[in-house]
Amino acid sequence: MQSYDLYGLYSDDLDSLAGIIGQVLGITFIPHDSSYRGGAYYRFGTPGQEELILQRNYDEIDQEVVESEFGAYPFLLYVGPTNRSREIRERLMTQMKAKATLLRHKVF
Amino acid sequence: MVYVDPSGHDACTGVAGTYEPDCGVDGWYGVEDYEARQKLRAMWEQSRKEAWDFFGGIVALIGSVLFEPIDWAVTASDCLSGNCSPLALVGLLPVIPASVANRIDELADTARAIPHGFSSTDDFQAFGSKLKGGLTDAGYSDAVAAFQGSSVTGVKHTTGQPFDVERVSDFDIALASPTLLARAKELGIELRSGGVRTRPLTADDLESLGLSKLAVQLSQSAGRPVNFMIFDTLETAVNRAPSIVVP
Repeated sequence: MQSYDLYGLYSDDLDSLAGIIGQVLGITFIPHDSSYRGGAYYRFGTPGQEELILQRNYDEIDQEVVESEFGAYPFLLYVGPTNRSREIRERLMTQMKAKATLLRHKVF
Repeated sequence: MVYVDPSGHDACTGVAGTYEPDCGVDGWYGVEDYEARQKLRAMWEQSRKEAWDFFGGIVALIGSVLFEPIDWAVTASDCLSGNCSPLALVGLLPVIPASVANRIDELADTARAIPHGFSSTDDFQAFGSKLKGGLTDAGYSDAVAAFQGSSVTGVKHTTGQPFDVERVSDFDIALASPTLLARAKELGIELRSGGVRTRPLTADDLESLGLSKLAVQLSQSAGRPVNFMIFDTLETAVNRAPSIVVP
């Protein structure tokens, strides 16, 4: 069973957020660029295995939020597929407190 | 007494509702429906703009004819210095304007263009074959794919930096398919732009659509992540952003 989670995040900027989450989860994000992901964004993991994507909640095509249900959050963290959904959630909730909120949790 | 007066025009008498008499001080005479009047004014402004655009095109055409000798000389000079293609060379023939031949040359460039991140046309075609085969296997044989983003423009949209400099540049691929869009809608994947496209597909979207394995295979093959967005038609996709259609 693999989980796919979405977190909403508050921060002043994406770069510092990547550093903070990296410390909390013990990972190092790689800087990426994609017009589909709001330009500059961060990614950790390997395709097909565990992946984490940290990006702006911004759609460049129509210049609006990507996750319209969660427009209040300026940044999004997509986690999945992962086998350690609970561990990641506990770390983020404990160490980032109100700056991180679990918005969606799916299991396949 | 209730005035409906959104533009601040000078009404002579007060009449409730959207109908309102006017003294003509702002070019509006008599009693008319204010909203209808505003729509008519907007239509007039639009047609006036279109007329200007049309005549602007004619002026540009006349200009190109008048300056054709200069264009011919520049093309000839480029060709003498070896800086032109055989198609541009055709423009030196007296019957074909150089500007037309240069335009044909540009179109030929576009047709043979390959996205940044591929070392050769063969690599691009091999990637395209995998993509099309994977889409067909997943039940989306009507899908047409087009590269978008910095792999097409060569620069990052937000920073202007070249492709793959300082950050890994992903492959952003539009998938144009009514079948795929309908399936996405069935699965509850959010549609955007009035229902003509999805948001960028997330990992769980890909899983639901049966495209996870394909995305992983393509990412491994390209050595960089592949991101998908579904559009209703190829026309919608290429009108949204510079694109290179997968052959």
